[in-house]
Amino acid sequence: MNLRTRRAKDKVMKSLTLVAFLVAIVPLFYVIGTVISKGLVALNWQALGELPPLGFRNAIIGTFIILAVTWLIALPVGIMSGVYIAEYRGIFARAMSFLADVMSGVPSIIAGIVSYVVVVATTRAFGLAGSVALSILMLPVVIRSTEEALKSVPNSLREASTALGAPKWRTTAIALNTAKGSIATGVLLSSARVMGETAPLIMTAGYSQWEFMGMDCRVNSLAYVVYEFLRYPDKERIALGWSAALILIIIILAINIGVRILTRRKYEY
Amino acid sequence: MRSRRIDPLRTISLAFVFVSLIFMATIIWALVDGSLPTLKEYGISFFAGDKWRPSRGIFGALPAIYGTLTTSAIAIAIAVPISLGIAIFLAHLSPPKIGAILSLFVELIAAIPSIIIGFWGMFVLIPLLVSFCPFLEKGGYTILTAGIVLAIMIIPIIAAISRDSIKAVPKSQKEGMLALGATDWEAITRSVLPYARSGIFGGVILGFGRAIGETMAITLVIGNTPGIVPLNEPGATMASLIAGNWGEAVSTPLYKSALMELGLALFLITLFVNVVARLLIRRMEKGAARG
Repeated sequence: MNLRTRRAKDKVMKSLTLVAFLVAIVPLFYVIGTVISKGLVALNWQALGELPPLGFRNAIIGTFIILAVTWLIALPVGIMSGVYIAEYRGIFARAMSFLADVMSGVPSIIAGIVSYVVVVATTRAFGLAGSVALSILMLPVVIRSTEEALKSVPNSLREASTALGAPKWRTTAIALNTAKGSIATGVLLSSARVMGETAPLIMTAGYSQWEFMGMDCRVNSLAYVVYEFLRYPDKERIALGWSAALILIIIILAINIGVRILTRRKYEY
Repeated sequence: MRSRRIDPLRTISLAFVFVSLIFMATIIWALVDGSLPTLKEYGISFFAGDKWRPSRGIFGALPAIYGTLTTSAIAIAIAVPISLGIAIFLAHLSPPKIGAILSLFVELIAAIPSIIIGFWGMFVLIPLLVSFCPFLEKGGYTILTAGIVLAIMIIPIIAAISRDSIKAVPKSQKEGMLALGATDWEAITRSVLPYARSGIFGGVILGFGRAIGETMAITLVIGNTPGIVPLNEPGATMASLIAGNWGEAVSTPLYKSALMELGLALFLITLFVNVVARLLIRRMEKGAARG
């Protein structure tokens, strides 16, 4: 190969990588564009303020209630597990860290089945089961976020604390305080992910056209309203489904973009 | 002299680690417990059966396994070259100042909920594909369509991990090739990519794991009729079969249990795939920390 063909090949292949990039981000804008244009049609105060089938107020409230209970389960367990892994290193801690990584790849539908067997089949607490399913998905991410955040706290801080006579728990509390922003970031990103999960809710929280009545009943959610309404052979219902999708995508993208701009943090897979 | 003071934090945090372990163990226990009825009734023949006819009590897992493997294979075949291109573009060729924003665009695709991608596929992509592709004459709800939708969803994962592995390659590796008179492209393909291969491979396997477990988007575009059929016909994956039929199965114990056994198999496969992927990615990250 002479120099000219080599240079030509260099140019062609480099342009192809740009093409690959453009091909990949077309769906992003296409999907967002579709949701905006179809979602705006039926988006009004009635959609936000009424119960189904006129609106989806209970789904907006339900999404956040399910998320709040998910936090109650996943945050204490996840953060404390992360503390152990980061502060008491050893073969067991390393194994737990690896296990958490592997568990972050558990398909969401599996979390739904597990929560069905453990919670729904025994207590019929559908709403609680939804939160349990989502906390199975969230827990590994919280563990790893806490671990990474604590590991990035400089050791000199711990040494200073110990030198002043602080016991280990106080030293760790100081390290946690330094790492809290980073942990919050991880929690927010994974909250954004689980808010869009639908598959686990099919087996658990499901669909409700009533006001929120407690975690032992069906609890409506935005993701489930999208799933329910868009399969109706009814134009008005479908338009309302797209509006729910628009609200959902706005919340999720706002969290993702906000976190990225404020912290320059990468998306966790 | 060793301090004899007890460390309450160690005890408490260790207790929470065990709670996490219980969470993880519960996954396996619940799946096995839920599958027991079909495990007893059909034994190993569940995975050898090539027919899925719930109304007649015939449950064979092969059509669903076939659907999972074919959709994932199509997705990987489409996603890997595109993701590698993106990774090379983001790591070496894009203007550094806007690199972070360009990366953000790719990563945001992964943030869009699966259910929304699925309905976009149903309302927008399928009509588009049907009007362009002559081989989709039987309609757009096919294994092939599901593979294309999956590809869109796993590109961000493979691209982001490949980009990180490529960035972790020491600069001297590329500079050495350039000094010998190689073009940019030759330096990247012959000295940077081989150096980054284990991380890239890890990313591909992680993307494969995601593809296997992806549920809602697939359920909406694959047609959800299990069968071992050509790629331009409707099929079903293990995950889509569970999600799509849960409502009608929940009152029939054996049907429900069959879906749970599919879930158990799906879980074991993704577990294996994720262990391999994470080992490769951790090796890449360690290398980056050292080099």
